[in-house]
Amino acid sequence: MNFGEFDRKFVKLGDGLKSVVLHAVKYLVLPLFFVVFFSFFLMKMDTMETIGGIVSEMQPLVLIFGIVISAVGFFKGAYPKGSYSRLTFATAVAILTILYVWSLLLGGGLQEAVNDEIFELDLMSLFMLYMVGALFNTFLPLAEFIDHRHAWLERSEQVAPREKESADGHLWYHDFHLRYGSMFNGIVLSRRSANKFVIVPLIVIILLKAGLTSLDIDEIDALTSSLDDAYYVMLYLGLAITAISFFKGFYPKGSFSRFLPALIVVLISMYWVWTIGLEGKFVIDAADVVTFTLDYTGILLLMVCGTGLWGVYYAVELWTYRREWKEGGFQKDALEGEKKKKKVKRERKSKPTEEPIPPQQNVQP
Amino acid sequence: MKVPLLITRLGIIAFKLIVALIVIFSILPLINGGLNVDIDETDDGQSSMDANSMRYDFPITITNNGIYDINDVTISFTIVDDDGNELVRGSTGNVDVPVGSEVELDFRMTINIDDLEDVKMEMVFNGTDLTMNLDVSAKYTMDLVNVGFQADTELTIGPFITNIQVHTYSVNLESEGSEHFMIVPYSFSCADMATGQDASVHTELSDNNGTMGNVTQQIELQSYTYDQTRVPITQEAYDRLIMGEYVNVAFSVNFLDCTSTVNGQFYYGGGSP
Repeated sequence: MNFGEFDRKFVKLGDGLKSVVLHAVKYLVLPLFFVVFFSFFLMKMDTMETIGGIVSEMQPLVLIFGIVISAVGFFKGAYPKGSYSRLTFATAVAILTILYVWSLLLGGGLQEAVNDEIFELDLMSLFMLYMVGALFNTFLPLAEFIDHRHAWLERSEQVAPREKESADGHLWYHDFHLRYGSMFNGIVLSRRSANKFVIVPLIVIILLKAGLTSLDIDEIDALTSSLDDAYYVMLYLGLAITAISFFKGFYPKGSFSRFLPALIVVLISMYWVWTIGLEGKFVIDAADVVTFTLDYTGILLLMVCGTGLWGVYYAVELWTYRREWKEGGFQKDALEGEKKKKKVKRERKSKPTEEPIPPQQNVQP
Repeated sequence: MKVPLLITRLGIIAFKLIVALIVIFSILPLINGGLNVDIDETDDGQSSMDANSMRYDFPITITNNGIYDINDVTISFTIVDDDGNELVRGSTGNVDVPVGSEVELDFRMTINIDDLEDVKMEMVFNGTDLTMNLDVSAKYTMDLVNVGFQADTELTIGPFITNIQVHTYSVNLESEGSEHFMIVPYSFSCADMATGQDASVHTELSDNNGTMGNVTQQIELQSYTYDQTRVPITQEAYDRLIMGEYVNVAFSVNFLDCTSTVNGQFYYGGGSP
């Protein structure tokens, strides 16, 4: 029976086993370890017993989801990139992961326990931030499929190979053609930027605000208010950086279409650093009697300059890779990387093994 | 990774590491107690005054066992009255505290008495509350960081002369030939800051017929003054006194061109009052 791209002839056992091990470690072993460790540790503390009990309730969920995701992960790794089968199983893993994390909230039970025993913490906001990263993960398999589809069809001889593109007549603005881009790299870089500039900073602000609010001190009202302002500024700047980072990752090294978005990201990042540093001034006003002012503009400007140096890096990258990219026929970065790995493997296999030289014997005249 | 890219990346990382180290080395001494400010609070600082000004001395010792010099340490103050009017302004000069050194900063607050004209009277005899705005600033971490501290504090100046009393129960009459004197004892207290300063006391005696006599004396203030004035009286006044009558005494203390008067009355002489 022909199952099309789901046929077992396309399954690579070794890749499947590697994938199942990786998924098992990431979704089963490590979470189980943390859940068991924290529930044991928290139950020993008088003030955290309830949370410890709640955390221990997560164990069966971790086991069930961990095993299911690991099993699906086998098929994800076993099928080749660019096939519908891999796309299906990879998307299933991404959706199962979202359900996994959602289930760990225990229907609001964890939120109640944290509010009662630690401080008022909006876990739903943290989950929504997690969802931003999870959405990227859901689109990654589709991006990988789009990037590798033609190459896989070429390998399975279902389509003719593409001709190498000539560098003649290729001007700098031609770099913006979509055919040069890798969806996978674009989404990966976008996700990384979202983690760095949106998710992690906002999580820190949410936790800081929850902690400071629980102290109930008037003097830090101004500080919590400035955290609110910083939250929205960082959200808008972070989203802008995330969006533009997609194009930076989409286009290959050596192209102007990568360099220009990279430069824009660097400029926005410099402003981001300036904003997160509270524009170089920190003021504490205590009861309108004592005012403490810390002006660290000099140090903050050094940090902004440090961020700006990445503009130089991308200029050097453009200069370094441009000629190679042109001569290589304007290949996508994702496929280029795979070709290099296969070339190294072929060279290792084709190198003859050296036989040991036998010891010299004395020849009698 | 290609060599030019690797070099650029390493250069960026090195730059960021240097900035991080600058920040860490500037924070570490604050945590380890490498920076210390001691204010000598014995006797609320030393205070002194003369006819024109009052001085408050606060020896401040700044110890710098950190990594960076502390530059341009400045302490300035402004004294304002209840209405926010600036009365006095002053500051120390810029002082640098190099690494590994201990610098004693003589913070001297000099208040010109003429600048306190509006509140002088109240200050001398009752004390006055003013507001002092204290501003401390310094530069640290190779002048990349400016630290500032502003505080408003209440400053009470005076009173310098208190508890003025004229001891009418101990007055006495003296005669030296044709000259007659009324001996009037008095006492008052004085703040430590004002001891040794010059003041004057004025005593005036009067009865129903008018002024009997008066005298002004220059004195040197002590923490507690118990003395007496010799008021010369006329022969007519003397004759009336012998017969017996009520005498009014007005005793004034004058310090820094401010005068406070205490009034009293006594009966002197023969016959019943």
